[in-house]
Amino acid sequence: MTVLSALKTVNLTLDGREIIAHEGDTVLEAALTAGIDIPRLCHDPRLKPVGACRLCVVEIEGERGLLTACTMEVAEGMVVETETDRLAAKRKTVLELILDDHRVTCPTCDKNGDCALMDYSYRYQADQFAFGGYKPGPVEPNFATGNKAIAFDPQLCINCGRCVRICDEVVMASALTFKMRAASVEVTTPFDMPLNETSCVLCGLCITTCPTGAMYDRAALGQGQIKDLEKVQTVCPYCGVGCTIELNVNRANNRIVRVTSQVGSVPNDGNLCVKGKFGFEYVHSPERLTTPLIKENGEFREASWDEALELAGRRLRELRDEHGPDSIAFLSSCRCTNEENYLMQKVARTAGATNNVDQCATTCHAPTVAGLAATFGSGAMTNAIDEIKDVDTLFIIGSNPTEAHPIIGLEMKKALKKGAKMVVCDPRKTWVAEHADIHIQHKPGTDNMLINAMMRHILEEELHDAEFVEGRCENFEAFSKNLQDYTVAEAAELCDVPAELIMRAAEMYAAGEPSSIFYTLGITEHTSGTENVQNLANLAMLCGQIGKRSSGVNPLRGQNNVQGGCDMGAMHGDFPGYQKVDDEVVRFKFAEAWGVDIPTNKGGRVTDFIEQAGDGVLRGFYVFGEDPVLSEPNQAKVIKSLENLEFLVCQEIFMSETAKLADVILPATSFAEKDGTFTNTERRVQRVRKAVEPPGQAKADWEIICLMSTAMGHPMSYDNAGEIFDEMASLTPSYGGMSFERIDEVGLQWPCPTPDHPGTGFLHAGSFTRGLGLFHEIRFREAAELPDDDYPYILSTGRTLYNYNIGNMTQKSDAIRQKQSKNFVEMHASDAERLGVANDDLVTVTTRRGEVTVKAVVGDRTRPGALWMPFHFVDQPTNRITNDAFDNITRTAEYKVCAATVKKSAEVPAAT
Amino acid sequence: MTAVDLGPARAVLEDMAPVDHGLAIPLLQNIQDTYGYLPREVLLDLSSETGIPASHLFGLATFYAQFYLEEHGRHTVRVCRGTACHVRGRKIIQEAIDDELGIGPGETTEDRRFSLETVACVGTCFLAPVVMVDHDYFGNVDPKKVGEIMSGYE
Amino acid sequence: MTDTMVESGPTISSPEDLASLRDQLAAAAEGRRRVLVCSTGCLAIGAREVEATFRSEVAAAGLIGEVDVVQTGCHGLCAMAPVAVIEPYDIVYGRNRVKYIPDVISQTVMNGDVIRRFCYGRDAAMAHVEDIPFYAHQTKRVLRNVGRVDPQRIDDAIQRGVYAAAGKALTTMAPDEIVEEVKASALRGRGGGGFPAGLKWEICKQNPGNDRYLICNADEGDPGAFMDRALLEGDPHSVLEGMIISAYAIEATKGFIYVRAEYPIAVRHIRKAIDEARERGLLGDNILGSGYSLDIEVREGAGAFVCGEETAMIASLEGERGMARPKPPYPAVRGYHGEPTIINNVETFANVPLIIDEGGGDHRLQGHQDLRPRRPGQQHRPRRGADGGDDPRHRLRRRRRNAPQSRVQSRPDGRPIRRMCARLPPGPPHRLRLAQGGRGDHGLRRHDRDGQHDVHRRHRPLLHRLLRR
Repeated sequence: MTVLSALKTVNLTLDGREIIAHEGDTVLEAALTAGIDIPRLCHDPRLKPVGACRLCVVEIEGERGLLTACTMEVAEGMVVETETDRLAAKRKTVLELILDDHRVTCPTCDKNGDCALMDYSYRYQADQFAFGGYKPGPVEPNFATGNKAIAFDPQLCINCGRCVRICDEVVMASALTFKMRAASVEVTTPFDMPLNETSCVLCGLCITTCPTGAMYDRAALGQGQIKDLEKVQTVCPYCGVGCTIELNVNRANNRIVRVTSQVGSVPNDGNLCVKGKFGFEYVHSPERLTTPLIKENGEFREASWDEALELAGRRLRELRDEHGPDSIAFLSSCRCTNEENYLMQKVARTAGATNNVDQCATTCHAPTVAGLAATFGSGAMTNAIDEIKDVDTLFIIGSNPTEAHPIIGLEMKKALKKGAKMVVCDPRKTWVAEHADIHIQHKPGTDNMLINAMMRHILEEELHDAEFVEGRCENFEAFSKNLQDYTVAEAAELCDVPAELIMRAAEMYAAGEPSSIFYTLGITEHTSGTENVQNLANLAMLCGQIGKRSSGVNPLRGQNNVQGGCDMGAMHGDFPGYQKVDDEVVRFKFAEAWGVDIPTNKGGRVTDFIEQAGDGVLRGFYVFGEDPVLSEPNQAKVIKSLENLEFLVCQEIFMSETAKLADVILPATSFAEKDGTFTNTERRVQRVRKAVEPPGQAKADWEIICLMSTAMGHPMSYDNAGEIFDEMASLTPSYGGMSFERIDEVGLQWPCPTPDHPGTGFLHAGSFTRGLGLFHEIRFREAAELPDDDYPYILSTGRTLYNYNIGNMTQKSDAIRQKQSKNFVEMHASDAERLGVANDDLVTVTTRRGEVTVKAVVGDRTRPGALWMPFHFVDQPTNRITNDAFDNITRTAEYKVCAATVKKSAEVPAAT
Repeated sequence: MTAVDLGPARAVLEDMAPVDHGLAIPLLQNIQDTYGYLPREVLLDLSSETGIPASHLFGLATFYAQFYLEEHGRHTVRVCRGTACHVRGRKIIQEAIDDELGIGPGETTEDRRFSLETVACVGTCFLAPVVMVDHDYFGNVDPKKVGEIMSGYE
Repeated sequence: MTDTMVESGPTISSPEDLASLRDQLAAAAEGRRRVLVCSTGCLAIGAREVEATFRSEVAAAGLIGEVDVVQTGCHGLCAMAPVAVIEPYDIVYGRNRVKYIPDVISQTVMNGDVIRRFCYGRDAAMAHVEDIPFYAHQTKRVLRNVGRVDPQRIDDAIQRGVYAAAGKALTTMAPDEIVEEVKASALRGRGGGGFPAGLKWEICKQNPGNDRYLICNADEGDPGAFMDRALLEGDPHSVLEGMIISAYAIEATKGFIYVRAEYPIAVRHIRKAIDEARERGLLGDNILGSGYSLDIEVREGAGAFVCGEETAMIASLEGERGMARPKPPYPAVRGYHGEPTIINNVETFANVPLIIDEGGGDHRLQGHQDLRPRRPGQQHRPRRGADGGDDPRHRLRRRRRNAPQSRVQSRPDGRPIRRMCARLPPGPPHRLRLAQGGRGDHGLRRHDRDGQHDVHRRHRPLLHRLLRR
């Protein structure tokens, strides 16, 4: 018997067995826990039970008639029979009635072999002709006709409602509904609108929950039934949530046919978003790089691995030897595994003999790492994802979780369903903003003014946690003195928000039991990014809303392995596990382990590298899985700088904009073609598994890095990724207790120092990593570039639900391209009206750095005077015009604020 | 299709404010009272104004027989098909009305003057067969009276 | 939506206020000449014109102030529609025609002289209510005010004693005492299920919840059933009073009345009644100074027969598609928004004030002797004739001729069907071939006729089979 928690228990008898269940469990839940499988079609544990299919009926002693196990709660002394002749006869009839309304197409159905209806029909030998049999009418077009992601065959639908309910209850997209009633009932969208015109978010949960083949992956049709497929459990390569997914691979043609996820998987419970469900065509894209390339006379030519490696290794080593440690740099990749990031920084510090190593956290969450480390002692999300549903007050600032981190968005939706309150501070009306109790739509770049005013109000009203401040923090006096310079009235004026809202928000946060802060790049991508983060930490400490379950400061990390990339020490000042390079003892440890002298140069960040390349200081650059031409601000300057390099080597899966500038390109592998681990935003280290063979001569990245190291004169080799992980773990205390064996099924959250340590759900219980939490006195500073007469708008950039970063993966998916394939700018209707711009008109957005011409999306999502653009598109790239002004501490660019102007374009929009 | 004026719908919303999920059905009833049917543009607008998903409003509008998604006649003729009316000649009345209006149940006259429906018992069995026009009852209806009844409605 | 002006009147803030108002109103009404025109069912056959003509003729005769013309609910003799009762003589006139109204006023209203042609059976000996067998054999209890009050005037209801039981219950009884009385009365749900009401309330009260809700099921829709309609249209205040007492008993904070949209008069009357009750302090905050507060909201059905089923009705009230939900849990345990909820039928609530007035035990005695212990209460039952003739040429005429006897009557439960149908008014000779009951009675064939009329017994669903054939 499994250990039952403190919940009250109930004793009952199921099929003659004595069972202990939790009070409030349904008979079905109790049975499933006890390993008794009651047939069911309309049930999904993520949904409220409805008892619609009536297949789960059971006999309960003392009750008249048969009762549905999914809705019947257990009671003390209950005696239940789940499988009797009477029940079997009843279930057979129910199935026969369902089959009478279901076109039996098993031979051609994707779901064949994996279909609940098929299984139960077989189990009870239900006759599809018992009631005459289904008589198919003509096939009419429906809401999914033409949709490239989701297809729907109403003739297969049994009206169990799982798709409608999951869309409504879990996703809260509510794109699907039943129309009509009784015999005419049918799943559809409002007014039978095409799916892509509805609120559908293309998550595909309707498909994964469908117990028959009625809802299916359009692209997977005919690509393989369950007997043809092997399911490989791995981790989604998109955002930092790190969903567990299964790649359904058809070995016969080495292809990923579709993606699924099991209910109960961590952290996503079987839920996926559009990227995790439909964003995998890139793996098999014909545009993949399949052979090493060397540039000669401005043209690439194919080369052998030996030739390419020899050239690349030799040139980097020569430049290092000739010009010193600051003449070469290594850019690691948060898209890649921990093992590869570990190796990249190891290669930099051994073969490269330089600390010039960085990864893309600088582009996004470096201020988090720096700011939280300075305050708490470690820079990561303080709480676990599964704690979110129990938060009482969600305080979300500069974050759009339902689009950027959709599965965390789902957890927040769970909290909302449980009655949580929500404060959202965002200049833009996002989904969470629209559903918030309080939405503070402040001016971009005024976060610290806002937070200071809130804290001032909390202090004045004595809503703070004095005991926590006294016992667990330091520097409170200087901090509170600093707040005397800020008032709610002043903030209301400067942020352009009603003072009342600021006060109510502060009170709501202070009063939550508990409250938790969630933020993303709206906080970090500012010239005051690190200070913003520190100020949020101040707020949490002031209210004692940290160091406990469901309460803390939670940066939602942007990339699948940006947490891991940082953890692995792919940063100039840190070894793996944030062990400091300038610490003699640590340096000695790594020198011993690696058998080299550790370089002592300070090193820089990616933004430094680019500037130094422009200045001629940096001469050789090894870029791995990154595309700074698209991801860094002020594109023209970036290109100019990189062109100034003497030698650029890129390790890539596609011919990226940066790769086009390279001297050597090494063909690399996607996440589906190699083994390793990713660390998600909640510090959970999870296994990535090879599912398909890489194309052409492409090699696993960790192998390539070893070959590069060897080519640079420092031989390096490993048999497999696990061996690298073990070496890393032995040198990294927070990962010390982990191994591939321990994280085989479910990942572990660091810190996990010993092999028997269960991992850590939330940080800073009892005391902070650094001991006392350090209050910082944060002054409000304006953004680097403010609107003026010439550039009167504030432009911010961000991520959309459908695309990911530079778009080179998501844009390979037909389903995603059909939904969103072009850059656009969101502008407020009042501005649009003044400029004579209508929705879908082409407009030119201009800043001091350049211009792009994109479609206008007119509405009320942005503030008047504000513009918003995504950064996913190669064509008319947004980073052509963003500002290369940087955070004073981490050199993260201010993507969220620059001055811009917009006007209607003379160009005629291309026909679509 | 001509654009539907959203003004009256907004006025209904304002009257009923605050409208949440639980008031979706009364909201649709009031909208139908205002427009005579539930125009698509109006439902989509109500959805974005109230936060009640459009799918939900559509699901309700198609579940409940009272709601129409198509433009409807100015007057609704309902012929009772309850048991009492049935045994007392509802069919004959139905035929007479069909002839008079030139439409069958579920249809609307071309001039949008009448829509014809049948309805389960209206609880006036003692006067069967019964016909309702809008909110007015007509009992002991005779085929000969049909024209006279209809002439009272423009 | 029809909005009628709510007349303002004195706020009633205690049972004493209520009693003194009632005395005043009763004194003023003593011996007055009143023409009570059925303005519900009879509207389908010209009652509006009849009533308007009475008014204009009274005015023309200079009798305003001396003769009141009152719109009432159903008098029961629907087959004689349009029906009017003339007080103080209690003379019943049916088949009223506009052109004879001046005669009725001058002869009957002013002098009490009977005009034979309007009488029951055109028989002057059956002019008065007490002379008509149809009425003489009835014991009107929940229907006692229907036809006697203007359902749109709360003062009429107060004068007839409505709300007195609510005053007593809310100010002198504990909620649990009321539940005990209802249990003692053995009142069973009148909607067809027949579940003991008091027991249901007790179960509801045993379940912890943040709130409790009370729902009045007025989605009457079974063919041939229209007693809830008669009550809501004719005496809405008694239904409200019953709901107030019941809500207090289960400690509910909010009530709903779910009415079919096909009953526009009922909807109008109950809405008006709620507005008036609220205006006068009989609904809303601190009812009758008792400290108990309740508001009641009317929701109209939207045309789904299934919504008469309680879980489907709850779904509909929550703004969902009216789909039935599996039971258990029953609504008394987890109902509206998951909170304990009581759903009872209109007539069940209308019985509650009587129970408070008489005491549960006495109320119980009002049932039929033989069934007293198990089947208390009174069933208010619509009757109408029917036949199964199918000659296509003459079917309409024959149906008319053979089925002239439609009316609403009120009898105790447990009465043999044969006796309920025995006192038919004069007409062509007839024999009982089929009785279509309201509610879940289904059909009774002739050989069943000695069967007892019992709302709680399931008869064979014969009618449906007959019709299908």
